[in-house]
Amino acid sequence: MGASVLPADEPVLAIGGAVKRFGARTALSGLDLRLDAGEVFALLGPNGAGKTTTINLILGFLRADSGTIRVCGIDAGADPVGARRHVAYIPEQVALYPGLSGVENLRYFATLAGLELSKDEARALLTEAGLAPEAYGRKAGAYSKGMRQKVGIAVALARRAQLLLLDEPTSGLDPSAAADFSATIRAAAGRGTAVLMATHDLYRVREMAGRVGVLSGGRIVEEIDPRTLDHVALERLYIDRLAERAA
Amino acid sequence: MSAARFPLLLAAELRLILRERLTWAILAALVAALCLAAWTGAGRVAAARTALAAAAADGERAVREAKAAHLRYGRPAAIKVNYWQDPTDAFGYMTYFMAAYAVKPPTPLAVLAAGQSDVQPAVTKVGFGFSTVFDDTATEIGSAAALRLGPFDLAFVLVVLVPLAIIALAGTRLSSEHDSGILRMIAAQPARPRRVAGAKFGAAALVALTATLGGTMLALLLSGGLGDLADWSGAAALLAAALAAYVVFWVAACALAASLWRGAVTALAGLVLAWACLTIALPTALGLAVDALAPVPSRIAAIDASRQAQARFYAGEEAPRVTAAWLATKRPEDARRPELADAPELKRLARDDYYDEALADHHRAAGAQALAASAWSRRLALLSPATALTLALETASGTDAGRHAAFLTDAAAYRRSLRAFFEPRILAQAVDPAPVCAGCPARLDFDAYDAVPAFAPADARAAAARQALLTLVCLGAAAFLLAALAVRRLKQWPA
Amino acid sequence: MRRIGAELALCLHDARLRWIGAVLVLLLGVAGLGAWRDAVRYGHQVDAVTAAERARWLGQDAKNPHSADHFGLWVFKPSSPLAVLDPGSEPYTGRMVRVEAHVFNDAVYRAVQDAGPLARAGLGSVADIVGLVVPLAAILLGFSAFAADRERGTLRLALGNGIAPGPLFAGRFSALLLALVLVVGLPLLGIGALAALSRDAAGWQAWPRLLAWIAVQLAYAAVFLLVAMLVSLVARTARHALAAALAIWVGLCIAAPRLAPAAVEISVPAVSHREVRARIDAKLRPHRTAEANDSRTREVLARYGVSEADALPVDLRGLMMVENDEHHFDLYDREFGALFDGLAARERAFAWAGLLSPRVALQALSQTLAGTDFAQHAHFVWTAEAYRRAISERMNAEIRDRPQRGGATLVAGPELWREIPPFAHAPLPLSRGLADAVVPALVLALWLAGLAGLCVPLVRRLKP
Repeated sequence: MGASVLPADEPVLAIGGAVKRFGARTALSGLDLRLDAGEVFALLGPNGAGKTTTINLILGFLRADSGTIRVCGIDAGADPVGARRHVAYIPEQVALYPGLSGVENLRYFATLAGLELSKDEARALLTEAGLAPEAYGRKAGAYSKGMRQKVGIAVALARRAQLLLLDEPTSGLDPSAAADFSATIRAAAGRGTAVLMATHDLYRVREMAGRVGVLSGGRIVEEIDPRTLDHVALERLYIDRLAERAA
Repeated sequence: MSAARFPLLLAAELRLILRERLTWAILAALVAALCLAAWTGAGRVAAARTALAAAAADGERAVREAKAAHLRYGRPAAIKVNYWQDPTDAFGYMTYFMAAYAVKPPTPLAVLAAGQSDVQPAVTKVGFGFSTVFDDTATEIGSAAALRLGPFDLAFVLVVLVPLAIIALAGTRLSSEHDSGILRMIAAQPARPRRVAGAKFGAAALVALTATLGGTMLALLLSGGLGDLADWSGAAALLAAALAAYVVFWVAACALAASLWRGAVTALAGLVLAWACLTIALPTALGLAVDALAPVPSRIAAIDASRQAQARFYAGEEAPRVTAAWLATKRPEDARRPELADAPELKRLARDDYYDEALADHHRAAGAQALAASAWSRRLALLSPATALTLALETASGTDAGRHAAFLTDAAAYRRSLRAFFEPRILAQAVDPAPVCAGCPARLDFDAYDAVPAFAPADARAAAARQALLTLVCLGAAAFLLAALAVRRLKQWPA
Repeated sequence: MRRIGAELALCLHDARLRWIGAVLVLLLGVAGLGAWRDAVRYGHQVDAVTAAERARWLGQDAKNPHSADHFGLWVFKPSSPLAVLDPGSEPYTGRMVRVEAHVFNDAVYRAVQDAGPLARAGLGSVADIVGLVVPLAAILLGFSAFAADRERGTLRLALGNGIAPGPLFAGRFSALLLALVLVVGLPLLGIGALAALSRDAAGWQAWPRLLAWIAVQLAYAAVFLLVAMLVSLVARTARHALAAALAIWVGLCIAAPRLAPAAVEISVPAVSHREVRARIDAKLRPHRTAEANDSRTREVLARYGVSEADALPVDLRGLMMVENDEHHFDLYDREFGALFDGLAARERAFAWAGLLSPRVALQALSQTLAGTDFAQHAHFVWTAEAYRRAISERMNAEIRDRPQRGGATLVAGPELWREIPPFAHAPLPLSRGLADAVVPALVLALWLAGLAGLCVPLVRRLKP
């Protein structure tokens, strides 16, 4: 297990001038982003702004037409598997094998990452991710979205990933589960994990993120420190930026 | 963080597949089907052995009764024994009493495939009547509806149902994960798609191989239909390898279907259609091709020819003329004795030769067609994995068309050898009757019952091993090709 | 009616129907025309050889009637004109019988012996295509009936706006069934009409048989249309419906039909042909010995109260042949009667085995209506045997009633040969076929009713 130690000046994620086109449509038009250990960065943007494309580029599912994407110094386009060693990804809908329990799902995904987890280790990780102990042995088919996300986080914890990618993590969560999730993410950041989340949820962004980038037209049009604004001001700013862009 | 080690991945996938209830339902159904098929096969083999034993017993009975008659008629008696009632006469015994059989004994692996056995009897009583129009006159009428539906034998289960079980087991691997979104979770892990797919389909292949080979073995042992495999271990091993290659072929087909990333249901529908093409449509097309390449000569034309010969023989003075001419070739020195041309036994021998000659072309054409059809079938069968495996199983069972064609040829040769055995004895008796005791009712010219040639069945082992090897090579190549295509397509995860 | 018209119009615009129709017409056309060509060719051969055999029989030299009895002839089984559509039992039963003195010969040279080893299980005949491919066509037409609307959300819209599910289902089912009539019924009618018009159909009642046969094939197609629509009623998406319907097709059309023979074999034990032959041989052997012959001779002389053959009012050899044959006939009636009864019982059991799969029920029903069932074969075998017996009886009577003295042999001529009429075989009438068809028709109707019954609650509680 154990993450490799980064040189002091090497960011966990460095995106420079990333461009991605799908036929005539430009999804990303020169995205720049740098993320250091322990930072939580929220990508805010409407549908089609390029949030998911950004995540796909970092995971190496897509290759950029130009620009660089480096994860812990590894070029995600040239060596996607190498880059993914440092990344944990939690999609909007965490899908698990419905016939397996939380523990079994966790052990399975850990194996895919080359780890061998004992049952006790798996239980400890699920506890750390905030899953209630009575759910460990239940079939994942009966889990709520929040519970499935916690299993996803446990996978990330198991792998000691240096970068955590979250795709709309709080959509569809009830307020208590969302608050729970925020706390878990803050804890992960506190342990030095860099977190990149793509979201619409301005309220949770203020709670979780240290930095917020407004993504529009395939690039970050404004970066905000959410702690300097209340969420009404943050919302106004976001809407203004999008309106400017549209004009 | 280390890259996922393949054995670990494989073990994880095995656990995954074995946790599914569907897996166990499929395996249970498969093993039940194999056991049922082996049971029906064992019944078929037992019936074949019974038929063989009955033939042997009938042969012994004929000899026993003839010997008893020899003793009985060796004493003076007041009755009259006609030649058709006389087993002590070479001609009488050959024509009316002898029970000589050409047999095609089941191989030790006969339980595997019914093949042609349900329409081509494996026991033929060698006679000298109208049955000589064709070599395959022996017939055993059975349930036509059953023949039409086909037997539930191991060949059916292995060739037709095993692929369906594999499709149910492995046909939605990866594609169902794609549909449900799990694939995104998997893809986000640092494992290459080929490794993950390799582990998933490798695990499915392991399960399918274990179930198919283990289930077949278990079914064979439970059924008790297996013969002594001492000399057949090589052929059996090759056949098991060919079966394994067939399983791998279908798992590779599942991997290829998954690599198209069109979703589980499309993969499933595509695989079922591919299965229908390979196991039903293509064999039908190949069957039509065999019919075109080796057309069946008209049975009716041959029957007409035999009847023309019969009508000619019995018209006017043809019968004595043919008999005299025949005698001239056999015993020139006695050909001019007029009473011999009217001797019923000589007339019968001459007539049979006359018929044989009239039908020689038809015989040759029928024999050549049977051999050509089996040869073309052997070649064309390799074009479909299903027919290739079927042929290998039938050849190992000794129920293939090729063996039957050869059997008919051997049976015809046996009939000729019997004729060659009796002919000089019949001639000698006709020309120079053996002296009998005063008042004895029978001819008493023949007692060499134990010297009558027995039929020597051909060994099917070499053909079985050869066909299994050929099938193994073809199926191995086909499986490799599909796997290579799947591997090529699985270079990266779908976007 | 307007709803059915609208649904049918929708269906006719669907490219799927055109594709399915084209494939079906092609398959049925190739198989049907191929079978028709073979049947016509074979029919001509049979007509020619039958005429030649008759000429040979009549043209025999003067000879002893018993020699003529041994000379005999071959008779050929006439094939039903609808064998072009459904060959039924015909390929699996002998097509010709050697008629000769003393012996109840088997009908020999089954077409299946001549078929290549690859041709056994497949799509060789029109009936095979109806049995295997038509269900697939029905599934491909019907699987999306409700599932596709459910997937698109249009079902929610329709039900939400007050459209009653019952009439909706009935309209769609009727439209699809009409589409099947178009792509299955019409080609079958075309091939059947060609066969009925171009082949010698005398005595076969070909047209009523054809219409009943086609109706049964459509009922079978309707079973699978109901299966597809049933699955469509419950499946979440059209693709799920397709997968489930395909699985059912494999089960009902491929796997279950092979279980039927095993089930029938267990439930209806029957003696084998080989055993029957062996038993007949064993019973004939003691009858054929010189001693038995001698004792029968003495018994005949005693019966007439004479001490030598020449003193008899009849010919001894002729009389003994008559009595000998009567003994054989009894034995054949008993043994072959039991064999054929056993086989017929098995065939009847297959109708009940149709409960395992509608394909099995269809096979039993279809061949009965086509006139290619086992009952027709057995009828031919016994007709040929009756003809053989008639020849033997006439020849034996001629010998018996014209006693020859001093070891002379009776010689008869063409006037006796002419007394034997040509072999004529009238097939079993359709009414007999209909009686035999009751059980398989009932089983097929049970399938239809069962599936329709399953549909009713699902339609009532149709979920969008």
